[in-house]
Amino acid sequence: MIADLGTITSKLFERWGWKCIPPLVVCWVALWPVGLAWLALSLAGAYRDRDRSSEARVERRVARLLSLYPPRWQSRYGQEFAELRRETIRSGHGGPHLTLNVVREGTAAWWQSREGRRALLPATCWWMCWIPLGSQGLAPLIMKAGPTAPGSPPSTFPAPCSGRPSRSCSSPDPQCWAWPYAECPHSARAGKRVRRCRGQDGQARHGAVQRGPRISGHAKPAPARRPGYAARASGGEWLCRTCPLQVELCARGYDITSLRRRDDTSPAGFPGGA
Amino acid sequence: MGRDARSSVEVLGRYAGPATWILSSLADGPKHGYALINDIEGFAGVRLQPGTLYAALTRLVEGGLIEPTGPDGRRQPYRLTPPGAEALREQLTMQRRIAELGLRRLSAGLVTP
Repeated sequence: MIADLGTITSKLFERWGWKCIPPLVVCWVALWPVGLAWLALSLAGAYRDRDRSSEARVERRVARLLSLYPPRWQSRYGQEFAELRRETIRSGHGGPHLTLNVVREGTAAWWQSREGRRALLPATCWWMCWIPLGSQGLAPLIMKAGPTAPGSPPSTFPAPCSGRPSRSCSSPDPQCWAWPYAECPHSARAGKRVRRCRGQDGQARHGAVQRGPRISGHAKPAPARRPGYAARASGGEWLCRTCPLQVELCARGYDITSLRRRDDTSPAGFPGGA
Repeated sequence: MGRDARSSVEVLGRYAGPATWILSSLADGPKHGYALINDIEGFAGVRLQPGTLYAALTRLVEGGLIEPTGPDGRRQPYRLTPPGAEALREQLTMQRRIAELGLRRLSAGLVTP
């Protein structure tokens, strides 16, 4: 049984107060894929087990809207307010206006309550935990996975480089700024693979994986290696380990994110010969 | 007393309008939230949303202008208190004065319809 992530977080807040913020930030930055998977599984479990009758849906909505108010307000007015919203929804006036109104007034109630002002700092820190997830996790991943026009510069999303700055990313090359600093190992490998393939200028040959030029542009000749062979090159790059198709595409001179040849300038190229 | 009561409605800010409607609705007897919404819609033509209604109710209770009666099932009726009745009287008197002044100036014929 997977515990609900929100419940655990609120219990941490109750027990430790603001002291739990730094470890939470660290955990989210370092382990966001784990947290995301956990969240997805707990949401899927809750969705699978819930009652789908219309009465239950109304109750869930009423409870959701009530949770937008401060606990002290809920304990004083919660029951009668919930009854009023039940009647409003049943009478057909429970559209989006109701939700927007409750969100606005719930926010105002939080703002005016003492507990709300006290919780402002932890809540701000909690939402800031998601900034690394967005800026260093999903956003660069989507931008890198999306197709790019031939000849266009790669993504320059301002996330720190995942490579070792002293070796492969010592220059202010935009490609070095496109991948997350903290991510799961697989994403890091995939990112470096994409970056490496983008940095290549067709030197790798079919049937063999060569160490391509360094990101900073200082290409060095290297002996050919078998596909799938993982080795750390002296330039600080990892060779492709897990995806022979990408190795093949790179070796044939294709950009693996746009699936076009690097020398192809037509508007709709496709690797027909790959 | 009168001045204090009037200012207790005016200090509600953006809830002063809903507060006046709620006090007017409660002037003819205790009502719970849903009955208040329907009554206000009937005489003012405005359907208050539950969030706005309870925000104004909360302030009126805290200001001592209304008070809860005994619970009616899961509903909670409210009734006007004497300071609330005084505040409503002052508020409506002021609004009537403004309305009469505006109508008098309109009827003076300076502005043609």
